[in-house]
Amino acid sequence: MFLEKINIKTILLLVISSVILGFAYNSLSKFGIPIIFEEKDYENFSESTGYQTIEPLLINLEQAIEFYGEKKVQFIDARDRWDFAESHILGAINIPEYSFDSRNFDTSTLDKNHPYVVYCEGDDCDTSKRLAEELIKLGYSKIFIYEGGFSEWTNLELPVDKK
Amino acid sequence: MIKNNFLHNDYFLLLFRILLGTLFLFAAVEKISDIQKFSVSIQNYRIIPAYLANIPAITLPWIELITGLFILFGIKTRESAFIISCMLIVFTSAIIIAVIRGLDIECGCFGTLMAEQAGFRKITENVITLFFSIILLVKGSGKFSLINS
Repeated sequence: MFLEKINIKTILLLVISSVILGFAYNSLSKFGIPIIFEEKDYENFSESTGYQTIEPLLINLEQAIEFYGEKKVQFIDARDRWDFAESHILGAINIPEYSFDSRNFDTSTLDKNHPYVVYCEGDDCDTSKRLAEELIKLGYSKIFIYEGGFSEWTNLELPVDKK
Repeated sequence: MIKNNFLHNDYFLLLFRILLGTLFLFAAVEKISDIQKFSVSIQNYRIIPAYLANIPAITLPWIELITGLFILFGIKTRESAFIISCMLIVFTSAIIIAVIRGLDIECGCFGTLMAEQAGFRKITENVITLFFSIILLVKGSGKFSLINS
């Protein structure tokens, strides 16, 4: 029976060695990550924080509506292109976070001095936060995260563009 | 004794080893190149708590790497195939759960290289890969290996 030919000790040794190698590489690599992931806390935008940001700032619904009214603020939809095509905040552009590659992103398509509001579905999604972080790394300094997202916006029947 | 059953054929065993070994090596290297992104893929499945997602992100690609290498060279083939089969069962189960919950997420199977959706196509690919892995588990490396096992 083939089961008799399997050495359990070898299996354990392989797994344990690989795990040790993994942790060793992670601790030595400059791209290593913390063993326990901690959700990042973002600061809320207010007049005192100012518009120039080195980290993305969170905005609430009222602030999102105010920014929406200011024509020069561009909304960015971080969801995938199928969700965007179905419906999105009126005037928003789509930069799907899941396929975003900062190495290949053409920064000339987005003015770095412009303020941008990034959103995704709502409270339960982190895609807007991840995209916002990537944009900050690329040198965009006015990045805001609308946490309430598309679900809050549509619940209040605010302007959308749909198929 | 003539072995005319293809499952006994050493050339097929070699072929399965090359396919499986290369696949897992490739997947491992892609994940190791961006552990952060792999951790995000794991979090997207919403099966384990987000704060624990970095642990499999750090360790799984190395298990893939080592077992992929061993299988490719035919070293400790049965044991490596056992580990690979277990991983495939876990990955496929996670994708099935994601499909049932209606999650529209990226598979995370090949790190940053290929954005594949976690869906039926991926499940089918995994089942086929699991089939090759089980054959190697049962039959061993065949005669074309560094250490016949």
